[in-house]
Amino acid sequence: VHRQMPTKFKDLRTSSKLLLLCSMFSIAIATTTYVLVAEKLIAINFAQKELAGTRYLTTLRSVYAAILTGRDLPGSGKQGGLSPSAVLGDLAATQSRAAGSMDTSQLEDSLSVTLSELWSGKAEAPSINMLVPKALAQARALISRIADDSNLALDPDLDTYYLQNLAMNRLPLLLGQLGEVQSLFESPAAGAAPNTLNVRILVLSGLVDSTLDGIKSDINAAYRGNPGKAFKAAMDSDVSSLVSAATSYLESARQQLAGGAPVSSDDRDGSQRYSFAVDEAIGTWTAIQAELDHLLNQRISRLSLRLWGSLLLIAILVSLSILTAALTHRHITQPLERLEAVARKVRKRKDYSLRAKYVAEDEIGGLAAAFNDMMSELAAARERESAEQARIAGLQADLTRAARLTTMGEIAATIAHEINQPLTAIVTNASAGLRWIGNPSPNVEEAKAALARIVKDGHRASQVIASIRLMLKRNPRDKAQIDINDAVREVLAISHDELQSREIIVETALSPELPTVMADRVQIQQVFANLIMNATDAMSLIVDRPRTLRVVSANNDPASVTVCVEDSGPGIEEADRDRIFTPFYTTKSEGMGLGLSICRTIIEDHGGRLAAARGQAHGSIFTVTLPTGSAAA
Amino acid sequence: MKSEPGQTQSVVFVVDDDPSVRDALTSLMSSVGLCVKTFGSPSEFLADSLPEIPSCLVLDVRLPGLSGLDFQTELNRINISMPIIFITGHGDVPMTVRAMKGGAVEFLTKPFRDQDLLDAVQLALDQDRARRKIQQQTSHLKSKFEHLTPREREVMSCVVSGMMNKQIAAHLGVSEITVKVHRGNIMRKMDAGSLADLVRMADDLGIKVGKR
Repeated sequence: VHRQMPTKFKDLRTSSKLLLLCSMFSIAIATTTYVLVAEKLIAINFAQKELAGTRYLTTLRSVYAAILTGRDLPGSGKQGGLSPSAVLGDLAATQSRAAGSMDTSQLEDSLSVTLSELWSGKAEAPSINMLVPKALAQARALISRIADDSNLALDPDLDTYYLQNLAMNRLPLLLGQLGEVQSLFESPAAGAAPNTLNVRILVLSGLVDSTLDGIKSDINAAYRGNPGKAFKAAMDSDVSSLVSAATSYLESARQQLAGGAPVSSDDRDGSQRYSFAVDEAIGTWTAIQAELDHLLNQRISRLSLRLWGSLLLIAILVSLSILTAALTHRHITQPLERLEAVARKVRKRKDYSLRAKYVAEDEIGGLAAAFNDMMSELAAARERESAEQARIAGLQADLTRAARLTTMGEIAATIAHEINQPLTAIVTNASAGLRWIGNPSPNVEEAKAALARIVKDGHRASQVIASIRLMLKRNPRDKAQIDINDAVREVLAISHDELQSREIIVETALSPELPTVMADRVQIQQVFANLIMNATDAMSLIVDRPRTLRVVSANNDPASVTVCVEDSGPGIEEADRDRIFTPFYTTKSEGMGLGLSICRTIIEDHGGRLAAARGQAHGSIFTVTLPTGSAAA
Repeated sequence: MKSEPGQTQSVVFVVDDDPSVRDALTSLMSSVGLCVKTFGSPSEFLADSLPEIPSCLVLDVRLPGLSGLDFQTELNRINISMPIIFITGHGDVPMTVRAMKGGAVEFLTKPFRDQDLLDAVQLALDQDRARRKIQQQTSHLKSKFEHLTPREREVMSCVVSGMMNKQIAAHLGVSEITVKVHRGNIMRKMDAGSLADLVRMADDLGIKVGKR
């Protein structure tokens, strides 16, 4: 498997490879996107849950306000529109909203019970004294639970963390402590010793001081977390007025104690300072919560902005990668496929003029250019090759033709040799036989053997002659309709060099309207070549007049075609006129005397005639008459 | 008839590709008592071992592969100096000239007269016989000359150049008596009857004259 994998991958088409690459990249992007979105959504949900917590807090703040400033609510209803039933209803509604996300129902229930009891109007002073701290403690516990369950206690940012610590911890604590101090002033516990009370108030005021210190340090920490000037400006005045209000209340409370005056509910100044401090605390609390909400909302919008931004970036990246893949496909695979198609077409059609149409500076462009160069080279090489082949073919055709036309001489030489050999043997054997018999002691056996060899060689000579006859009897299938003028021109062309070197003037008068003749082209050309060579030889000694060779073709009689070969040589003696066609008769010093005889045989074989005549002034005329196609045998 | 006794002490080689011609030639030459050996090609002839007796070669010009004329050149090249009689079906002047220049005895055109061939063969054999005789004598002389000591050879070269004993003694820095002793040894070893004999021998051996 390990070995197969690469080959399999190698065998994939490039487009598939690109698709694979693209899809793997997409999966990677999708995974990253999922993680990113999930993370952002978690952070957003976290902040939204915190907001739910602060919303709960709004209701609880009115509860605090009701407990601390309107303890005689049922009677007077002096705190504006705050009625106990409205506050309780609000609390219940808030609880039902938060029921899903926070585990606060039990704490809320017990707080509601305490509050109902507190505000029922039936409670006695001592029990009120007990109920107020109880309600405050329960409210604080509820707030603490809300802080835990709504993630506020786990807030990750410095500014919001300290703000929530102020809202969920310090301010409820401060209000509780203030309320406790005031309640000690207003309705001291029955039977409690004044000293004990004083000590308690002093301890509490010390606790309030430390809480105020905590508030100050918290707000400073929050400033460190959020260096924005607007934030500090929004918070600073509220916090400092709260601190001063609470401090002045504590001052008056201490003075009261130091003055030794008994704690009295009629102390107008003290309760005024108290309600001012509580109002300030509630106001600060409201401000802090508003700021907290603002910061949380800001965080949520920032997170969602980042989320959408990231999604947009990813979308752009994905589309860019797809675009790149598509472009890669277009600039690598498509040109390669086109190149392949061109190569295949070239192979199929053998058309080397085809070219790959792709121009680019990259490797593929280089490949296409190299491919085209190679094609040009191939085309040039093929051209050269075919030119060479044509040249060789032409050369061979010329050689074949020349060979055919010179066969006559070759044949003559071969015949000479083939007949001369048995003749030599015959003569020698005859001489030997004579000697064997003529010796002083005649050897008849040797003489008889010599005579037997003479018989054998005689037969051999006649066989040679028979085979020449057979050779001259051509296959009629070699005959075809030929243009005599063409045949003549070809022979003249081949003999051109020879004629020129012998200073012979060639004149032709070939009739343009010659009918075709049914003939063996090669044999007819052999005849013409022979006649032309004879004429040339005849003129070799002529010096006093031009050596003129004249070839005339005519069609005087519709049934035949005539070709005359005329020379300006010495001409034929009247006595020789008929003998020249006899085999082995020659007037030349070097000649077999076979040429004209064979020529006549060939022409007669074609149903024609070969005649010789004297020229008008000098020289001789050889006339070949051949029947036209219709009259041919 | 020019048949002579003792002809069997010679051989006529025939190289011709035509068996009929070979048979006829064998018969003709046998009828006058010549010993004949025939071959179909030059290579067959070269493959055979040549006897050390007077011989000649009847060679056809037209042969398969190597032509007779080229074969003649080849034989000259490898130092086989055997008289050659050419026979050909169609001989022209340039061919004849070339053959004769190459040392041929005769150039006959087929069919030839029997007497012409037999005369040519006789002539060739005589030539070869004479050549062999000279060769033999020279080699005999050479072996005798080889038996002389270097000093004797020196003295001999001086003697045949016509120097007196006194001159030789002065030339070689030895006493006249010593020269006389060398001279006696030379005459005995070379089997020379006279000074004239010795001079002829020296000429045959190609000894250069020892003049200063």
